[in-house]
Formats: sequence, C-alpha cells, structure tokens
Amino acid sequence: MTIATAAQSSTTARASEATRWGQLIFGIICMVMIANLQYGWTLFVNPIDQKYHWGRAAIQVAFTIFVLTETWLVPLEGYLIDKFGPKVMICGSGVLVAIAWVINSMADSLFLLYVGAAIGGIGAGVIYGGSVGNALKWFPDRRGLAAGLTAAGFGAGSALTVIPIANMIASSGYQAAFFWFGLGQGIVVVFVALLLRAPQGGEVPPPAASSVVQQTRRDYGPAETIRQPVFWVMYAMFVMVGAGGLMAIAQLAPIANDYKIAGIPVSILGLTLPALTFALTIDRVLNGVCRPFFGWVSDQIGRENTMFIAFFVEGVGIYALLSFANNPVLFVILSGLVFFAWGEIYSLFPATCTDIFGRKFATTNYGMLYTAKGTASLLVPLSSVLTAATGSWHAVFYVAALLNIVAAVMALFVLKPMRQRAMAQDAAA
Amino acid sequence: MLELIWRVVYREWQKIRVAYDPSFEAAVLFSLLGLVVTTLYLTRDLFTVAPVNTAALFHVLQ
Repeated sequence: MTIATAAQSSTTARASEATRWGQLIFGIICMVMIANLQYGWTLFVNPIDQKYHWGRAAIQVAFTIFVLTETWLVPLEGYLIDKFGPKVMICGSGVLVAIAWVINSMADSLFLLYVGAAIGGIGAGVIYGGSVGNALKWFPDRRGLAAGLTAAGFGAGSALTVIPIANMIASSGYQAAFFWFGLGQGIVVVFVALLLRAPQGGEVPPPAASSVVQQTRRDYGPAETIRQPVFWVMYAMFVMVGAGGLMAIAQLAPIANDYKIAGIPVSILGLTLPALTFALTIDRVLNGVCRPFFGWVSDQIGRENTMFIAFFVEGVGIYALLSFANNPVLFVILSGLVFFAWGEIYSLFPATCTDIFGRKFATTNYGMLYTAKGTASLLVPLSSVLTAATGSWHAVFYVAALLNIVAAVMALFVLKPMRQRAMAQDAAA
Repeated sequence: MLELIWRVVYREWQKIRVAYDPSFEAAVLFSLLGLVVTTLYLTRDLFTVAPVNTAALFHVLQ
C-alpha cells in the first residue's frame, strides 16, 4: 500500500497554478456541502419535535452525537486519508452524508435519528479533515491562506442554503428538506471528490526556506508527532484560545440582558438591528472572514507573530467588552472584534502543524491537533461554575482574556523558540 | 482442508503484521480515547451548577 502523498517520483513536473487552485476550490465546495449538517440542523429541531413530540433535549442529543463523531474521529479518518488519498475517502463520505440525511428524513424513532447523526458525523469528519489536509499539502507556499479559505467554507457555507432549506421545510415539510438536500449535498460531494487528489512529490513547491515561514523537510508520522513537546504546546494554546473565546461568547446574551441593551436598536453601516441580534448576526461573517485573512497574514509575517497579534487582540477585545458593554454600539463592535480575532485558530494551527511536522501525514497530524476543539468545549462549562461561584459573569471574562493573553505570549516566547529548535535539529540530522 | 484454511489465515496474519503501522495506533488512540472520555463526560452530570447546553457550545465552537 502506498502513501498518497509519498514522493513517488521526485521528478514529477510542477503542477500548474490552475491545478492547485482547482484542488483548493474542490475542497471548499465539499466543505460548503457539509456546512448544513452542522449549521442547518437548528432549522429542523422544532419541526421534528412538532411531528413526533420527542422533546427538544432528546432531539438535540442527535446533534451532540454528530459533533462527537465529527470531531474525535478526525485523527483516525485523517490517517486513512493520508494512506488512501482524499478521492476515495471523501467520495465514500459523500455517500455517508447523503445516507445520514435520508435516514433523518425517514426516522420515526429517536434511535434512527441518532444513527443518522453518527453516520453524518463520520462523513463530515472525513470531508472536513480531507479538505483541510489537501489544502495544506497543495499550498506549502500559502499554507495559512489555503487552510483559512477551506475552513471558511465550512463556517460560511451554510449561508447559501439556510433560506432555501427554511423555505422547503415551510412548503414541503422537514422530511422532504432532509431527503432532497441530503441527496443533493451527497451527490455534489461524490462528484467533486472524484476530481480531488493529493499532490505527487515534485508537483508542489519545496518547503519554504524563507526566514518568515520556515518549514521542515522531514515528515513526522503521527506516533512521532505526539512525542514532540512542541505539539502539546500547540495543543494547549489551541485549547486556551478556543475555550477562552467560547467562554466569552457564551456570555454575550447574559451581558446584553444584564445591561438591558439587548433590544436597543443599533445602526452600523446602514444596517439597524437590536444590539444582541446584531452581535450574533455578524459572528458568522467575521468568524468566516478572519480565517483566510489571518492565514494570509501568517504567510507574510510568520505564524507565531500572527498568533501573538490575533490572540492579544482577542484578549484585549474580551477585556474591553467587559469594560464598555453598557454602550450598545461598542457592545456590537467589540463583540465583532472578539469573533474576528477568534476564528483564525482554524487556519493558523493547521498551517503551523504542517510547517513543523511535514506534508506526508498533514491530515492525521492536524486531525490530532483539531481534537483540541473538543477538549476546549469540555472546559467551557467551567464558566457556568465560575459565574455561579462569584455571582456574576465578570470573572469569566477576566479568565477568558487572561487565557488569550497567555496564549499570545506563549506563541512568541515558547512556541517560536521551540519550533525553531526542533527545525534546527531536523536540519542538522 | 483444515491445513488449507490455516495456511490462508496464517498468510493473511503475516500480511497484517507486516503492514502494522505505529502511526495507525496513535491515530486510533487519539480518536477513541477522546470519544470515550467525551461521551462519559457528556453522559454524566459533572457540572450540576448552572448546566450549559454542551451541544450548542460545540455548535458555536466549530
């Protein structure tokens, strides 16, 4: 069996820019197609409950199952993608995501709904990991931008189909929406996946030798990667920034309600909405936009430098939000800043991980790092404990801001020297 | 007949042994450990004070 990205021939001709960008666009299309599995789900909860009266909590367990399988199986799925290539894995996963929603359309028991969720999670995990991994492999010279554009496809993808799905649920029922959208999304993934492939040895530029973004010439296997201290430093930073931002974001509604600004209309750039609705509306946009933006910045000034800026801005933004949240306009602007400086973890960490540990097992190695997202979410309930213990959400904000500032400092003074040492050792070996 | 079956089984086992890859072990370990720990966590009410909707939080985190 061969490794999909193995340098089967170091003399393979360099792929054209059209080929590389084509591969990136195919990956983004696949990401857009699975966005509804996560972001569109909320549209179905009430209609399912109205038909079967299972209760929202029981129905939402299906979503938890989806996220569990989607997040935690990525390392294993990544290994299979690195081994067999993205085409066969993502193609098969297109079938899985179609089956998942077709099952949902027919589910007349909670058990079937849960089975559909598990199958959908497995499929979505493969497509997420495979698309990001392929972008990392094809664009060693613009790794931050490529990972950011691909990750943004997942966050922003549902914007295209939320309204059509809502309209179909209203006109034909949720089961028809599950069936036809499930089938459509799956078919698109299957056909686009047929065009996907990992790069051969000489098809992409060699690892960068620039002083801004250094890249290893060695390919670390997953077993080696998890033995490197620098991997766990990144994991800890990912958890800190993920949990810190999330703790703050989860408190947006309580803050707006406490200051009685939630319903106050705010006008920015010609758009007028109640303050809380405004803040929650811009989260998708800014959370999507920041991924390619900071990814691109990291290609220009280096990963750790960009991490320092983004995490520091995030920490300051959270602290400023705490200080000025009583002003509805500042509440909207600062919450936007918090979202903007938060989503880039999905472009900076995959790019850094692949710079350090190489291209061959990029999907598996980032898949292992990606599980920090799941670990971070497990820490978030601590914010409720903290709020209950102190009687207000202020302490949560201090902790969230502190976590980001610590991660920012770690980027420059821990991660950067560790990464440089590790690469120097590789070069000397 | 038994010998034939044994030979086939033995041959396939040798293939699996040759194909064994520590990277696979690491990937499986990461996935299954996380899945099991998270499932246990979510199914136990560890934080009974002001519990939060973990599913919704996952949703935001993505």
